[in-house]
Amino acid sequence: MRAWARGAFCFLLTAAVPAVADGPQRVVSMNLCADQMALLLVGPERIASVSFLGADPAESPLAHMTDGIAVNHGLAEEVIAAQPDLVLAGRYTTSFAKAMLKRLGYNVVEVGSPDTIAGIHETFAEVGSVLGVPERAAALLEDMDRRLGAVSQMMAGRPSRSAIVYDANGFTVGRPGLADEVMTLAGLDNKAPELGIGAYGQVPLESVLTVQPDIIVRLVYRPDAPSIASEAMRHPALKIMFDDRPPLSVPGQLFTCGTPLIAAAAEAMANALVESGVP
Amino acid sequence: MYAMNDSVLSGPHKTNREVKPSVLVLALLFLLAALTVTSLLIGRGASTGGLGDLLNLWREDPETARLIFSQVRLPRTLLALLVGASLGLSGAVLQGLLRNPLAEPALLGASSSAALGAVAVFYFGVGGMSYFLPFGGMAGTLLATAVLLILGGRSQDTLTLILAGVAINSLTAALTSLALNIAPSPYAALEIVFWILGSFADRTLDHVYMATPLMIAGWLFLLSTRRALEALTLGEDTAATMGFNMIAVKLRAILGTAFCVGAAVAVTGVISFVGLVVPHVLRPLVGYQPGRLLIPSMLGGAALMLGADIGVRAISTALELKVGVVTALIGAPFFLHLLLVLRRTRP
Repeated sequence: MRAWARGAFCFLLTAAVPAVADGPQRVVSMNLCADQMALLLVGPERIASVSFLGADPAESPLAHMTDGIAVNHGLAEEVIAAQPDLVLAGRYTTSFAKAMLKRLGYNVVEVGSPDTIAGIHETFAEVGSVLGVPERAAALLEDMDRRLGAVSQMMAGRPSRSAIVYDANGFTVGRPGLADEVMTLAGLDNKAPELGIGAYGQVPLESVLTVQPDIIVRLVYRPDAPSIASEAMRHPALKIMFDDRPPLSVPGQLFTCGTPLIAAAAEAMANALVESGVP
Repeated sequence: MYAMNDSVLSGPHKTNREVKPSVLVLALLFLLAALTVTSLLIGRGASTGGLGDLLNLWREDPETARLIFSQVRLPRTLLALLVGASLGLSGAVLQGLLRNPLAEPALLGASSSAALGAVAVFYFGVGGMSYFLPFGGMAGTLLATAVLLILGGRSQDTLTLILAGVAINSLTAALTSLALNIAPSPYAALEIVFWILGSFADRTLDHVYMATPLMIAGWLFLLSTRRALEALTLGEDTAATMGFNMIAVKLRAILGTAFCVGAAVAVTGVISFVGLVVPHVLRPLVGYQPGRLLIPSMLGGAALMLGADIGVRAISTALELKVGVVTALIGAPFFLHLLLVLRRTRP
């Protein structure tokens, strides 16, 4: 098993899911990130349906837990068919379905998508209470903090390196951003905010070449499917600048959602950095 | 048909704006040189985008400046030159061969068919950029041009051919869209914009190497129709009695278009109207002689394309504008103008 996958798995061992549970018993999640939070908090037994993205191993690090769970595409009729006692939905997606479900009297809770570690604390604790498992939420958050602390300690002695995320279509992560916080923990100085990038944005190739980061970070996402978007990452100018040194690749799916799994993301980045041989 | 197209294709014979060929070619070369230098000096990027910023960087950090120049600006400029020349030349030959002032690779559906072929190879075939890519584009163009000539080639009406082109365009654009939606890449569905509107952004020298030999082969095919196009102004039968094998001429034109347009679209997407506008603007300057129009159309196409690509870099937008937007903004009103002229002169 890859290191990051092991990291993701550790969470499930941290605290056993309570056998006799209070709170909702038939949770339907319509959102990739809510899927992951529910799986971490109550396990697959109390989940009646997850989003199609949540069941896709390319999108979710917890997709392996969704075997046998019904899959929805954010449509109201799929949610109704699953007879939920709680519906988790994203704040910004499936708005028509959400409105209809609320009108029909379902208990719909909108889950935020935190882009900072502080935000993860807030959101995850909230979802924990909604699901009736606040203690488990607290335990997982505590474990996340411990592991993030360990990464920070492990990387503390190393010299700071400048870095920038350069992904498909030239997209990069600025501040606030989970990747930005993880980079900082791993001892990397993110150059994207200097280029005027907020949470997320596009940088021209020429800017990356001029900024001259020590390291290019790649949040790898469906790497095998050819696209014009991913051509940009393989531009020969970058290869020449980095002497064919490969970019620092970490699984992008660990950065998509703000959940305690961000600890696995930080571990993956720290390990990749150590293995890359860059001092 | 001849009467209808007379004023557009063979000139009103009232005003003589003909220029000496050497003067015209020299003027176009001069324009091209100026645009090439501008294109190499202008970029996109917070610190290096402005005109002359690269020269400043050259003094501070010559290595990075050289990298940006040779790997980012140079391929982009070269591709714009080559693709522009290919589209200008294809337009001039198609207009002469079909004796149709509205003929142009993109309007006839040749370009969008090339995009369909390239999309099939890129997303489903060998996967990504490879030297097979232009051949996907060429196969698409070849098929579309052949269908077009069967559908509308024998028609005596200018608009029948264009309508056949419209039909091919709609069909291939729909198929391209369908293909991109079922492609495995999560980005593919959004890349319809690249394939339909074209872009030179972040193209590499690899793209130049992969398309150039094919485009040059296409030029040779197209330029070889030069004398036949002159004869064709007297009508197909007369040209045949003058010793031109019209089937061979058409074949060379189709192959040339397939090489030029197929290779160009495979690396840059569909860029419309260059092949329509350029021959029209230059036609009076060469005395309405379709053979003499070819070389100036290549140079003019390259100039228009470079100008449009400088435009998308100079217009500051959050996401870079596609170059086809600029050529369509110039070309579409021009197309309407041509339709009005045609209607006025229709007997």
